[in-house]
Amino acid sequence: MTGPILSVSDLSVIHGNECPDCRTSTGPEVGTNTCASCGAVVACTDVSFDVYPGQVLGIVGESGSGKSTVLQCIYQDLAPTRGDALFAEFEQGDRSIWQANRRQRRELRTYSMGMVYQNPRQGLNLLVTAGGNIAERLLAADWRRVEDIRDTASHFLNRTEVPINRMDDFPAFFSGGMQQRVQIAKALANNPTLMLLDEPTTGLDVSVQAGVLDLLREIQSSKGMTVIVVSHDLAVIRLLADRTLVMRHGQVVESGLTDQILEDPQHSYTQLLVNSAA
Amino acid sequence: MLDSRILSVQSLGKAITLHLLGEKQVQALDDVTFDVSDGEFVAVVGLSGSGKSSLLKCLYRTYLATAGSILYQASTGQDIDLASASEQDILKLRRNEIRYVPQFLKSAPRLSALDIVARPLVESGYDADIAYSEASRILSELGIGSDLQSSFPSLFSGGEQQRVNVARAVVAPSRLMLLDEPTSALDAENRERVFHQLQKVKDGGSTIIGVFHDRWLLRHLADRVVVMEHGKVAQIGTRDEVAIARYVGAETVPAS
Repeated sequence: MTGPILSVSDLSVIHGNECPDCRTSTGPEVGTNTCASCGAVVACTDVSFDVYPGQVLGIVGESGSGKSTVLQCIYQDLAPTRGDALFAEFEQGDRSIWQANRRQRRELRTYSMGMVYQNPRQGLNLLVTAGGNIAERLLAADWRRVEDIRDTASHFLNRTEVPINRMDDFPAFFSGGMQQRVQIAKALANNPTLMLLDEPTTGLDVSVQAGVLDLLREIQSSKGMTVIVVSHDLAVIRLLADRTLVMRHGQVVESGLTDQILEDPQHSYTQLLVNSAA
Repeated sequence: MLDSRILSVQSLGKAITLHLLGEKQVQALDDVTFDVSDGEFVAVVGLSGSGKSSLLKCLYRTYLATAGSILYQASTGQDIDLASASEQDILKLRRNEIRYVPQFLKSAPRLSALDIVARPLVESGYDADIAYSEASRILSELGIGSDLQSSFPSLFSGGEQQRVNVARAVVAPSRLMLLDEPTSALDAENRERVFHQLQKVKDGGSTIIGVFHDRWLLRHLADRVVVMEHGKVAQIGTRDEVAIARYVGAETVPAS
C-alpha cells in the first residue's frame, strides 16, 4: 500500500499574540476559540491527518470550527503559526510545504493544487471572460500557444457543462451555479494532483447543488484525483468523502470512515451534528 | 471446514453510548461468535431490534466494534481483523472484495437506473458499452423494463427501487456480500426474480451473509441460519436444525 500524498501534523493557526494558555483555554471542551488569558483567536490547534492518493477526505464542522483555515493553509493563502505538511509533490515529501519559498509556493499552486472557493469571486476574476480566467491559470503554467489554451479552456468548460457560447462572456453576468462551474473548470485546467474544495455548493439552490456535486464526483472518480472537501453540509460529505474529520472550535474531535462517522458517531458533538440533520 | 473458513467472528460486542441522552448505554451486540465458510450463504434472522443490522454494520465497519474480533481471510490469504484494521485497509477491501447492500437504494441524484447499475462495472474497468448492456440485461431480468431503465429511481415505487439496488449489487458480485434485507418490499413474483439473481451470485462462488425475513428465500438459499435475540446468538445451525418460525413471517403462499 502506498503512503499518504499529504501528511499534515500539528497544524495550529493563532491570530494575535500567543500565550501559554491559548491551547488549554480554547477548544471543544471549553466551547470557545478565544483565549481567555490573552484574547488571541485560536483558529485551529494541533490538527493532524493524512490523505491518500485517489481518496476524498471530508472536513465537517460548524462555522468557526477552523475547517476552512486548514484548507487555506494547505493552499498557502494563509501562513500557519506552526505545523508541518509533507506533500508528495514537494521535495519528495522530505520538507514541509510551509517552508517553501515564494517561487516554490507559486509552483505548488500552479502545477500541483487546485482550489474551489465557496465564493466564486475569490477564485475568479469576474471582469475577465470565462475563457480568459482559465487562460490565466494556463499562462501561469507556461502555456504559450493561443490555440492550445483556447482548446483546453473550451474542453474544461464543456466538461463542467458551461455553454461554450458563453466562453467569451464575463462571469459577472453568470448565475451563481454557472460561476461555480467556471471556477471548477479553472481549478481543473492544470490537471492538479490535489483538489481543495471549500464549501463548493453552499449558497447554490438544491437542483444546481445536485448538478455540481454529481459533476465533482464524476470527475474525481474518472481522474482518480485526491480531494479535500470542506463543508458544513453532511449530505455533501456523505456523497463525496471516503474519510471524514469532524472539527469544532479549532480542534479535530473525531475522524473515521464517512459512513462510520454518520452512522456510529462517537463524540457527543458528532452525535449532535448527525442528529440535527434532516 | 477450518481450511475453507473465510470469516471468524469471535466474542463480538457493540455498545453504543448516547451522549445526548445522559450517557445512556445500549448493548447492540453481546458476545457474538460464529464462523463462515468460503462460498456459504448464512442467513441472519431475529426479531426487529435483536441486532441483525448492527452485526452486518460491524462486519462492514460502519459500526466500530467495542469488543471481540472479526477475522477475515482476504483473497491474498492474509488474515485481517475487520474490527481493528486501518481505514486504508478497510477502504481497499470495500473496493475489491467486501460489499454491503443496504435495505433501500441510496444513490447520487440525477442518475438513471441504468447509470447506477452500470457504474460498478465502469469503475472496475469495463468498457462503457459492455457495462451498459450488462446493466440493462440484469435490470430486465429483475423486471425493470427498458422504459424505466433510463429514468430516475427517485420516481420509482419502493419495490422497483429495491430491485435496482439488488441489480447494482449483483452486477459485479464481490467475494463477500453483506445483504441487509434486500427483499423486504417485494411481492412473491419479484422475490423469485431476486432469488434467481442471488442463486447466480452464490453459484459464482461469493460468500453471502444476509438478513432475511422471508422464509421462502431462507429455505431455498440459506446453508446455515444464525438466530439473534437481544444482541446475542440464540441459535445457529443448518436451516433444518434451527427453529425459525417465530422470527420469520409465515410463508406467503397464495391461497388456492
